[in-house]
Formats: sequence, C-alpha cells, structure tokens
Amino acid sequence: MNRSMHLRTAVAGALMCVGAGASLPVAAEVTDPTMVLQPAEIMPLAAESQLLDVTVAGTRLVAVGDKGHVLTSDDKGDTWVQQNVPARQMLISVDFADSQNGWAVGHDSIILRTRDGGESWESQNFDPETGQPLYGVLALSETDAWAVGSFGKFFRTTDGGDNWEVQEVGITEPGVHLISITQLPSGTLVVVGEAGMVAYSNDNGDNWNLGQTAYAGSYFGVLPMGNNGVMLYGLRGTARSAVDVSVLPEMDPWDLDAFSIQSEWTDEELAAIGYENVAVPAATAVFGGAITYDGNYVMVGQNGSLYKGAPGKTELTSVPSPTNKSLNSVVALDDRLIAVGLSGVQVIELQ
Amino acid sequence: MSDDKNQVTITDRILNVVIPPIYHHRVVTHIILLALTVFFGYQASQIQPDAGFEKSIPQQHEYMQIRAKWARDFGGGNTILVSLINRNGQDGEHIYNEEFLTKLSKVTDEVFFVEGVNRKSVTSLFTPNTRYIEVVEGGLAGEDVIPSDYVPNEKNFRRIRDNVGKAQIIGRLVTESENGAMITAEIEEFDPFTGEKRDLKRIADQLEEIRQKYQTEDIGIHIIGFAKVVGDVTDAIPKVIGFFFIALVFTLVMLWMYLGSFKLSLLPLGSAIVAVIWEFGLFRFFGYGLDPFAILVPFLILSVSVSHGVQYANAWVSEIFNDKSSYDASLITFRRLAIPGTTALITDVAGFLTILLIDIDIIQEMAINATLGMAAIIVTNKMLMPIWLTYVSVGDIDKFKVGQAKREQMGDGLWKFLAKGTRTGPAIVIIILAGFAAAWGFYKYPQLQVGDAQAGVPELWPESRYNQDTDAIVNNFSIGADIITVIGETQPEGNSHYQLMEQLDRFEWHMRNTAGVQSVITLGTFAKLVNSGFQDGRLDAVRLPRNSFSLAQSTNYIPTTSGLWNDKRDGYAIHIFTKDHKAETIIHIVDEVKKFNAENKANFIALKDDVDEAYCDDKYAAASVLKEADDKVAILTQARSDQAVIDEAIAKSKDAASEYSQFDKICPMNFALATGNVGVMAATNEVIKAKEIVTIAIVYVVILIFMYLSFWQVGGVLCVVLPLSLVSLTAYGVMAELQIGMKVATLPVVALAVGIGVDYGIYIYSTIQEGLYNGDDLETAMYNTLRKTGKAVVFTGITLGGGVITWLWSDLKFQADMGLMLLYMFTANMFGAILLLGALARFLAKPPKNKPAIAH
Repeated sequence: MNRSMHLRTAVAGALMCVGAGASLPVAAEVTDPTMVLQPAEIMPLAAESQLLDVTVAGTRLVAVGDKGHVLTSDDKGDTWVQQNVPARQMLISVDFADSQNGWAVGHDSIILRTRDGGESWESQNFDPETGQPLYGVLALSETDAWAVGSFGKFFRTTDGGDNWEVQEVGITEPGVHLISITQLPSGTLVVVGEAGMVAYSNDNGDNWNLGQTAYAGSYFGVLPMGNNGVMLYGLRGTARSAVDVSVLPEMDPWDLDAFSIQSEWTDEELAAIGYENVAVPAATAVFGGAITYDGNYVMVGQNGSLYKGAPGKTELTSVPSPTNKSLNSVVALDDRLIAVGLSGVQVIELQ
Repeated sequence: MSDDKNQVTITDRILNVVIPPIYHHRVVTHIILLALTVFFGYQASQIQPDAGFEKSIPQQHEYMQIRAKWARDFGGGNTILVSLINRNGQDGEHIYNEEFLTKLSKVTDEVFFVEGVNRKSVTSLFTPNTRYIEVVEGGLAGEDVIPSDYVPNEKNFRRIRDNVGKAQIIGRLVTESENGAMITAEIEEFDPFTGEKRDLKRIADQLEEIRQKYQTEDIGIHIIGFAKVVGDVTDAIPKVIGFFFIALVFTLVMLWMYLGSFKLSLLPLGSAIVAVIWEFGLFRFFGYGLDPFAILVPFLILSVSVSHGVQYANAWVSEIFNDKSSYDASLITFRRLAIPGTTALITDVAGFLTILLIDIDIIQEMAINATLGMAAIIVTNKMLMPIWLTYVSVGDIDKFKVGQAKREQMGDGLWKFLAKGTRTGPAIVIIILAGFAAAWGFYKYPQLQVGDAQAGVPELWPESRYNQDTDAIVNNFSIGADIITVIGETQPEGNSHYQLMEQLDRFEWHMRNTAGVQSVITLGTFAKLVNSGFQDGRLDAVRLPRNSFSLAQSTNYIPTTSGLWNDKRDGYAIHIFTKDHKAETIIHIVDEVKKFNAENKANFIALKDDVDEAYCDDKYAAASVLKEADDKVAILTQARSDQAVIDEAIAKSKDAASEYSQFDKICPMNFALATGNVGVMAATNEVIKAKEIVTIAIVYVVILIFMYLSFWQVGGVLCVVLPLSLVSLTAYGVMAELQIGMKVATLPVVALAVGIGVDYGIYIYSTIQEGLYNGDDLETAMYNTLRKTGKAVVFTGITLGGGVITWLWSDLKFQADMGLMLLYMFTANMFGAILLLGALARFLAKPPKNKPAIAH
C-alpha cells in the first residue's frame, strides 16, 4: 500500500516524527504477542464495557474505551454499534473535527484516524515498547490535530496524521502528565494536567503560557465558559472557574511539582482576579463535563456522581445518577445526556 | 432343538438341587434364615447416616481432576453462604447501624467456629481479608473496611459506608441496596490432619443454631450451601420413613382384600420387610452408610419383593383352591415360579450392576445397595416365603374357597374383555397406539434435560426454606449462588508478565460476554482498581499496566486469601457467576471456555516466535509434575509424616523444579475447567450424558440375554422387551414433560424401575406359553393368564402405584419426582404387560416345542 510505504519512509526520514511504522518489528523476534498490533474483538457487551470518552460527530455519537472499543450511535445513544478497529489498546480520548474526520488516542501511544465518521479506522502511531498513554486528542480540521499524554507527551499534525510532530515547548519539559487539550470559542488552546497544570496558547500552539492555579492535584479537563473563560475540574472534588484563562498569573514550568508546589498567590488574591473555587458536593474526583442546550453545564465523576452548574455560580448541585459506577465523560444532545464510564453508556434524560 | 431339551433338563436339575434344602430340611433352613435375619437386623440398626459432597462428584472426570489439583489453593466448591438481610430494607433501612453490624460481627465469629469450616476462607465485612484501597493525593491508601479502632458510633457508620463503596464489595459482601451483608466460608469435608470425614448434618445443625440464635423480626438470616442441603434433606427423613410405613399399611390392606386372608397377606409383606432388613444389614456389613439421597432404594426393594410375593401367594391360593395341602401347594408353586422369578430377579441384579459404569460414588453405592437388596429378595422370596407357605393354613377351607371364587368371578368380565385384545383387529389398534406413544417418546427425548432445570436445589421444593433463602440471596446480591470457577494455569510469579495477565483480562471479558453469565471476578478485576489508585484514580488507569514492576505491584496488593490466586502465583481463579444452573446454560459456558482457551493458545503461539506447541505442552506437563510433587511435600509435612519420607518428597520436588526451570519461555495461560458448584454440575452432567444411553443399553442387553435363555424364542423375547422399552422411552418423555432432569437422583430410577416391568413380562408371557403348550388358542391362553397371573400383575401395579402416591406430598422434591416417575413406571408397565404384550403375542408368540418351565 502506498500509504504505509509513505509512512515508513517518513519515520525513517524524520527523527522528530513518530509514525505508524514506529514499532513495526523489523524481523525482530516476537516474544510478547501483546507487542503486536491486533484488531479489537467485536463483543456483544461492548456498550457496557469500560468506556472513557464520548463525543459528537455531526449527528452521530462516538464512544471509545477499553480493549480498542469504538462504538457509534445514530439514535442519540439508544443503540450502539461496535466498529472494527485495528488495535485493542485501551482508547482514552476521541475527538472529531467534523462529522467525518476524527482521531482517537490511548495506551501504548496508539493514535487512530477515521475519515468516515468512525466506521473505519487506521493506526497512525503505536509504541508498546515504552507502554505509555496518550490521554487527550483535539481534532481541529481534516488536517490539523493535537495529542497530549503522559510525561509531557505533546504531538501535533498538520497533514492529517501522516506525520505527528513531537512538540518540545516549555510545558513539556518537566515531564508532568498532560491530560486534556481543548479549544475555547476564542480559538485559544488549553492544556490541563498533573500538578494543577493549566497552559494556554493564543497563537494556535506556537507559544504556550503556563498559569498559576494554586492547586497541586490533577486537573482532568476543562469546559469553555464564555469566549475565553474556563471551568477546570479534577481530583477530589476540585472545580475552579476563571472568567478568562489569561487572567492566571504566569509561572515557570520548572516550578511544576506535584508535591511541593507553593503558589505565590493566595486563594483570595486569585479570586480577586476572577479565578474562583467552585464547591463540589462530594470530595470525589470530577472526570468530565459538558455544556447543555440551555447554556448551563453538567459534570460527572467518581462513583457515578452527576452535578449541574450554571455560569457565574460558585457551587454545583447533585443530580440523581443512574449509576454508582464512575463516569468519565459526558455529552449533551438536546434534552438528554450521554455519559460513559466504568460500566459503559448511561443515557440520562434531563428534566 | 437339542438346546430346548438341555434347557428343560437344566431347569429340572436346578430344581432337584434346590428343593431338598428348602422343603426337606425346611426347619433347619428356616432357623438359619431367621438367625441371619436377626444378624442383619442388628447390622441394619447400626447403620450410620453418610452424606457427602465428594461422593456425589465424578472424581475421575477431567474437570474434577483439575478441581482436585487446585483444591489446596482454591477449595472445592463446597461453600456455605450466610446472609443477614434487614427486612425493612425497602424502607431505606441499611446495614450501617449498631444492631446490624454487631449482629454481623457475632455471626461471622460463630461461622468461623463452625466445625469443618476452613477458617482461612471465612469472608465478611468483619474479616481482615476485606480491605479497600483509596486514592489520596499523591498516592494510595489501603485499610480494613471495618476500621481497626471500630466502636459503634455514627461517625464510624458513615466511615464504614464510605469504605464499603470504595472496596467494590457491593453485590458480593453487601447487598445491592446495602440492606444486607454476606458471610462466605468453605467447608473442608475431610479433616486435613486426620483425614476423617466431617458430619455435614452436624455442620448444618450448627448453622441452623446460629440462625435461631440471631434471627430477629427485623433481620432475616439466609443460609445456603451443600452442607445445609444435606441437613434439610436429613431432617425430612423421619417423614420419609413415615411414608414408608403408610405404604406398608396400604399394601397390607390391599393384600388382605386381594388374598382374602389377613394371615396370608402378612406373608408377602413380611418377606418384603425381611428383604429390606437384609438389604440394610448387608449394606452396613460391607461398610456403607445411609445416604439421604438414596432413600428410594429400600422402597424399590420393598416394591419388587411384594410384586414377587403376590405372584407367589396368588399361585399358592390357586393350588389350595384345587384342594392341595399347604405343603404341596407350596411345592407346586415353587416348581412353577422359582425359576422364572429368580430369572427376573437375576436380570434385575445384572441390570443394576451396569449402573456401576457411572463413575460417581453415590450412584455406584445405589447400584450396590439395590443389588444386595435383589439378592436378599431371592433368598426371602424363593426360600423364606415357600417355607412359610408350607406352614400356613387358611382356616375354614370351604369358606376361603367361596370367597376366592367370588373374587375370581369379580374380575372375570374384565379378563374376558382384555383377552380380546389378542384378536388381530384390536391387537393392531393397540400396537398402533403403542407406536404413537413411542413416537411421542422419541419426539420428547431430545427435550429431556440433563441436570437441573430449576433455580435453587432440585432436591427441595421451590417454596422450601432453603430455596427461599437461595432466592433471597440471588435477588439481593449480584453474585448469586451458582458459580463455575476456571483456573488460569501458568508459571510461578505469572503476575509480573503483562502478556499473561492480559490473557486473564481478556478471558474475563469474553466470559462476561457469554450468555448465561451474570458476572465474572478475577485477580485482574481488583488489580485494575489498585493500578488506578496509583494514578490519581483515573479511569484510564483502570487496567493492567504493561510495565512489569507496576503490574506486580498492583496485583500483589490483592491478598492470596482473596481466593483469586495462590501463593506461588501460578494459579489464577476466574469466578464465573452464572444466571442459573440449567444444563444448556452450563454447556454453553463450558463450550465458550474451551473455545476461548483453544483459540487463545493457538493465536498466542502463532504470534510468538520463541515457542511452539510442543514446547508449551512439555512446559505444562513439567508444571503439573512439579505441582504434584510440591503438594505431596505439603501434605506429608502437614500430616507430620516420617522425616525420611518427607525428605524424599522434597528431593523429588527439587528435581521437578529444576526440570521445570529449564522452560524459561512464556507459554499461553491454560484456562482449565473447573471447580465451584456449577463446575461440579458440568462434570456430573457430562458423565451422566455420556453414560446414560450406554447404561440403559446394557441393561437391555442383559434383559435380552436372560429373556432368550428363559424362552428360547425371539418372539417371546420381543413380547416382553418391547412393552418394557416403550415404557422406558415414554418415561423419558414424561420426565421431559414434567421438567424432571436426568441426574444423579433420577437416573437410577429409570434403570431400576425397568426391573418391575421385567417381572410382569416374564410372569405373563410364561403363563401364556403354558397355555399355548397345552393346546389353547391365544385368546384362551391370554384369558387364563389374566385370571391367574394378570390379576396379580394388575393388583401389584395398583398397590405399588398407590404406595408411592404418598411420596407426592414429601418435603423432598426429588422424592416427589421419583414417586411420580415410579407411579408412571409401575402403572405403565402394568398396561404394557396386560395389553401390549398380548397384542404383540398375536403376531410373535409361538407355542413352545417343549414343555415350558412352569407348565405342570
């Protein structure tokens, strides 16, 4: 095939690139079958398996999770079809630029690409040797996408994924886990991660600023609030909002340290500039969130917790949850929520 | 034919040998027999109850070999579940209060001290093997679910509630709605030190005491497990014995009405009781105990004995009617019936012995029990009964004859009518009807369930306490009572190899996707959560890490007391909780396990360049040798054997270890079936399915041989065997229709009840032949047969059928099922013998060339 030939050349040619062929054994002896890319198995209960992310592609829902499970639904989450995928690695994040073009990333640094709305997938990267995960993916267009991962992994493609360039920017240097990447309505890119890390770029990713957050735990994700505002959420019932991500005082990446971080700013000072604590009803992790049709938002997390909140309010309220199993991601479609987590898909009708 | 001549001479020769001791020396013989009866009576009174889990298991089956191989690590599926459920749970009443938790703690302690409970295996909220793992900022914390500084107060109740959530035990140790809790424990049927067998009934009694002591209006206690079943079945035995006596009294009344003399009616019954005494005595004498699941055997012995006794008394009465003396009447009857009767009994014995083919101890015990009983019947019916009859007088002989004539008159119209069944037209109709019945049997046979069809245990009624308890547990917990445990066999310290643990994980997922599976638990289930705990509790870390160090770290958090793996880390239990234990469910799951194992092995080896199938087979074999050697050392050490013997075993184990250590390359995990109660059922069902047809076939081959030896003509054999096989076939149809499964309890019924049919057939066909030999036409011969023998057959059919009707009200469902089947077998065989046999005789019977054995 032309494509894979091309990919292999790309790998051989560019040290700064990782490609689909990166770990193809070159006549090396296989002693561990799990090092070989194997297709996901189609299983009846895939929609009840551990799913980690759900997103919208046009009118379609796409969810990804354990064992290379990719599921699509064309009826707002009532029924799901498991799609054929060339990998059985756990997929952690999925994102679509439009109804057809999307990427999914996961463990063993797997990167999968679809051009037909999630019905078929090809592998663009697979690295079982280091065994490290990519946690987040952001699809911006047919050609442009970003991926973030453990120990400061930061990839970018501008050619549809034929080449994934390693980004070496300040925020990747300390090697903290980068967990999620999002684009705000203003166009600002935001990356959150371990050690309370929040980084943003106002120039499409060429330069990155790191903000002080006065928080040493992990941020798992970010919801856009207004044009350039953010709602950050993470470990042990942490949620904070900033009216504008750029109000966060800058800090040096090398000061990122999960165990000894000392913010130069107090909570009160931060609140004064528009970075506020949002009270979460339980001290358990918040893993995902979504903006609902009415401009409010919902959040999901550990033990099936489900909260709702409104812009400007500094507390979340609990909503009865259909499950006590942890939820990791949620999307809102009109009047219903589709959440995924440890025990698969949950459809929740909003009152 | 010369054979015929020989046969006649043989018959005469046999009679000439056996008649003198019975008749000429009847006093001495009688005294000897009575002395033996006293001896066996004493033996019988010493019989001990003997119920066991192990003996109901086909130990030789490959699954059970695996069960035995890993029993030291994972137990054998003989578990008990004790659950406490707050009855007000619907009102939101949960377990987190002082009353409930104190009770749970006390009951846990009590279960711990129940005799035979493997202390290590006891698991509840209050046992130290119940821990939770929690993510805290910058790491992981683990603690017992019940804090070590626990004192009952609101703060701690809240803490425990949180801990229960974190420990992922809702559904297993705590009910889904958190209004109840579970204590599980494994019973060791044999004392590991002395090897002595535990009395399961006593264990059941101790459990029942716990229930009585701690159950309140608010908190219900539910107890299930094999030991409890044994207890409940044993508790029902007095009532079973009650049924036995009801059957005796009923039979006595019927005999009295039939024979017209109370004194006379005591004889068949008395000899039947003596036969049962001998049966128990012999059984005890050969070292067996009374298994509550084998209670049908004495009934069967009683029934067969009464059947023969009635024939005998009936024939004797006919001779008295012909003005013979008691002694002469007895001798003539003996000459007529001793040989066919004994032939029938020997046929039964041979038939029962074939059940020995089924390699399950309890079934073999039943076969031996029944065989000994049949042997006893030969003695009591063909020796004791004839002697008694020589002494009996019917009092006023004329009055007796008048009564007898009246009774004969009564049935005369019926016999005349039934004899018409031998005419060509009616015969064809009867045969066509029989053909339809056979077709129905063939149609129904595939629907016959092997194993159990219903939830809970089929030995007891669905509304019994035990099955109610099962319902309560199944409805409130996600794990249920039915479990098949597959063992993932691999190399020591397998938990540090991702490529091994990945297979465990994938197998778990495949089983979870298998129809009939409710949930699956493996080491991986929990190790994944631990791994996630090391990584901020993120869901994307709820997986087995590829990194060898991380993998070992995550898995090592799970104690081996969890029953999920063993100390050497070379055995991994996959507990598959099934939705029910229907045979089809089990077969499907077992097939899926085998399929996965084969495909996984092939795929794994195909992908790997460093091993091939031969290498891996050698590696598995070396592992088995090593495990056996290690187990031997452990057993010898535990039993404190001679040091030299232990040293020798250690040396062997070292050799095996060094042999095994040469296999340093990784082979696929071998998913081996199986243990757990459903694992045992899987093996049992397979054994029964494989042997059931063979057993019945051999029973019939034996019958065919003996029938041919009796009649020396194919037509006669067919006349007896065709009705018999029709009844067997339709009995399967009846079982399918009534949803009675083919299993340990019912298989012997089908085989044993054939014996009753043989008696009927032999007596009827012999008498027909007698008439044909004397020149009668078939209808006349049939009419005479019905008057003489048929009458007794009908009487026996009704009496025995009536005797088992009471079983339908038994507390034991399996007794009721057996009763229903026996009722069918007794009556269907009766109709087979008096209707179908005659109809078949129209086309198949020929007058014997020589004087038949019973002609006179």
